[in-house]
Amino acid sequence: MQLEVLHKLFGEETVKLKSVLIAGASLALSTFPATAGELTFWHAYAGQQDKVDFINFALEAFAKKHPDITLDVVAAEQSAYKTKLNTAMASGNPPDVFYTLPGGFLNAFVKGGQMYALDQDLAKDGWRESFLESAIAQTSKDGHTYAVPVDVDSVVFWYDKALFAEKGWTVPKTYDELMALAEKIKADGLVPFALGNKDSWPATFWFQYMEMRLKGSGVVASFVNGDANASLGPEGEKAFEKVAEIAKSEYFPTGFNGMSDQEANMLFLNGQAAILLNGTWQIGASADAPEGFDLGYFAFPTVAGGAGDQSDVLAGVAASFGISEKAENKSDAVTLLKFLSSPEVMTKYVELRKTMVTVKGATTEAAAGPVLYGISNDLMNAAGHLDSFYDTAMPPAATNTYYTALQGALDGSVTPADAAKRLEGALKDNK
Amino acid sequence: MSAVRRWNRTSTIVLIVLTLHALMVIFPFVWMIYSTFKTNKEFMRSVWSFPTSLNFDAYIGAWSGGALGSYAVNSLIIMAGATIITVLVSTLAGYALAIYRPRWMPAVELSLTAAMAIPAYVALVPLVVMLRTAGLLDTHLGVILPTAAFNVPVSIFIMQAFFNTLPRELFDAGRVDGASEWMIFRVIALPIARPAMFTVGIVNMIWVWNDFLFPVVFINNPARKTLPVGLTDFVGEHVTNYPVMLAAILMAAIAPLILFIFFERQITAALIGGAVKE
Repeated sequence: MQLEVLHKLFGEETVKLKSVLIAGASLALSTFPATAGELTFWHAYAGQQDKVDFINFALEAFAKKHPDITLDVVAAEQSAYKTKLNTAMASGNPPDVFYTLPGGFLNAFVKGGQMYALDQDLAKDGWRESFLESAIAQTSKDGHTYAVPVDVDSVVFWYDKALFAEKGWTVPKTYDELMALAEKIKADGLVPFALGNKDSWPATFWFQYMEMRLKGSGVVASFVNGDANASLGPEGEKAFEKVAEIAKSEYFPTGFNGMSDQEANMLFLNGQAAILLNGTWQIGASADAPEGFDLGYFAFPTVAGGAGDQSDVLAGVAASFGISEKAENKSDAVTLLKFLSSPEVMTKYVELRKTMVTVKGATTEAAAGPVLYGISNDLMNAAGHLDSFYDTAMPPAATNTYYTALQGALDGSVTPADAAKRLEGALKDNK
Repeated sequence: MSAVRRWNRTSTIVLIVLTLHALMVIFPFVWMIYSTFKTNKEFMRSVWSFPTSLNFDAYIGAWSGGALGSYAVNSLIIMAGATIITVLVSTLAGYALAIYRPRWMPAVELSLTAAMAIPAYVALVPLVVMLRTAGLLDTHLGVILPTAAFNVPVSIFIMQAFFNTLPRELFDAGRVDGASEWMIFRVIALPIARPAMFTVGIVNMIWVWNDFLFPVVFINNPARKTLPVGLTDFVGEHVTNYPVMLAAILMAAIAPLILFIFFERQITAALIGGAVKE
């Protein structure tokens, strides 16, 4: 009987194919190229509720304020977005205005001559001055700015104040204290440090902070800027060694290299792991924590004998908006960027996403809440330097080497010396 | 007597092992279903615990958060289009390659094998350029055609292997009776080939239904998204509402589930059929 159904299906397949073709053709006709007053706008504010809330707010407000500009909006979730944007850029079909990661991701487009330099527009009406200068530097290359920075993430240690109070643990000030605390936590039967390194980026914070404490900030930046004296130094090997030691002491969860960041977060939130080194997005990730969980933070502790400024904070621009060189309607595109980076929109961004922004004065205490404001006001203002994320600052090819070298050092398959050599080589080869 | 007892002991062990295996396979689904009734807070407190109350918020959230219904329709259109084209082309080509054995057949086979070696990622950029030139970017047909093109080579080999197993006398008999080549194909080959076509069809349906890369790159209009792409609406970069995501996945699984219930026998036969050559 089922074969009969199938026979019918195949008997009619020509008819069906024809209707599919007609449907396809009619769909093809409905896509028009952009004309004046029309902009294509691609962004990655999808998937996560706070991201969706923000972009809905921003787009509605924009439509109200600029009814003469029609936006053709395409949204995709972060990882899918990168594939989509890369393909569109490579095929010479870029959107007019789009969300892009700063650093290596953006520089690849700049190298291909696909980004519109915003220098002249930024010079007008004090637009450039409205941003933190250190943030603008991360979307600039060779003296030109190619995107406006949006938000800043900084990395700190997170802990549950209630759990610490219950167990009588105190926040460590030095690295030795941190290691002593980890031993105590482990003896108590908990995992000292939550880490889910499946996607390779979570462990980079450990390595980068060690390198920053041992050698200083700006190491990877000097490679990217083509500085002839750029080097990881002997500290690079030392930093890999220290991180590998933590893994060997079993302070990370079992199987951390195969665990996702969100799985590690669950260990942290339900009290199976005590401490987590993670970005400020942890505030949003802790919103659904069980009752009684009280999120606190502390700075990466000082390392005795380290040559770096011990107050430095790992913080970088997480996202930015740029305009493609091919965009026909640049003045409208600039209008959109100006609107998105206006203090009103950016303060709303802080309020909805609990993330710091690059626009001066927009990260208000009221919008940020006590934890984020504390990090922004105390920790970051007091920092000697802010060093941006190594993995996004370097070119994508070097990032892959960085990730595999660090994963190898963590699971013991690559020696610290070898890991440092590979990373140094990749940074020298890809500029 | 003793033989019977030994058989009993073995069967008990087999039964225990199979029961454990069944539990391991079934539990993730059971877990998924009961987790959808929890709030994200409950989920974060304990991943395994049962929900404290029966609340359908996750389903409401998933239904209003995306457009699962229209995503499913898009997936069905693309699946049907690509599968029909692939089955049609591979049946005709497989038949021709097996029965006529043209002199230049090795060249065709080589080019098909070479085509199979091209990873989809490498073809993305040229495909986007071609689709844009043809005005097919951001359309269903723009996904259907490249998807079919990528699945046709291996499908041809399956069909060719099948037609190779048929005795040539079958077709010679038709020729002796004065049937045209088209008649022989339609009246003799097609009815026999139905199980093989079903194999190719089922395998293709599964591939196309699950495909993520082509739809995500070629489709921009949210109204034309397929289910796998649409489900990423529920995945966050750092924060994910798990009960809502699981509810969305469960609802998305309904269409394939219905299809499976209807065609279960054919699907298992099709999947096993490829394993051993008769």
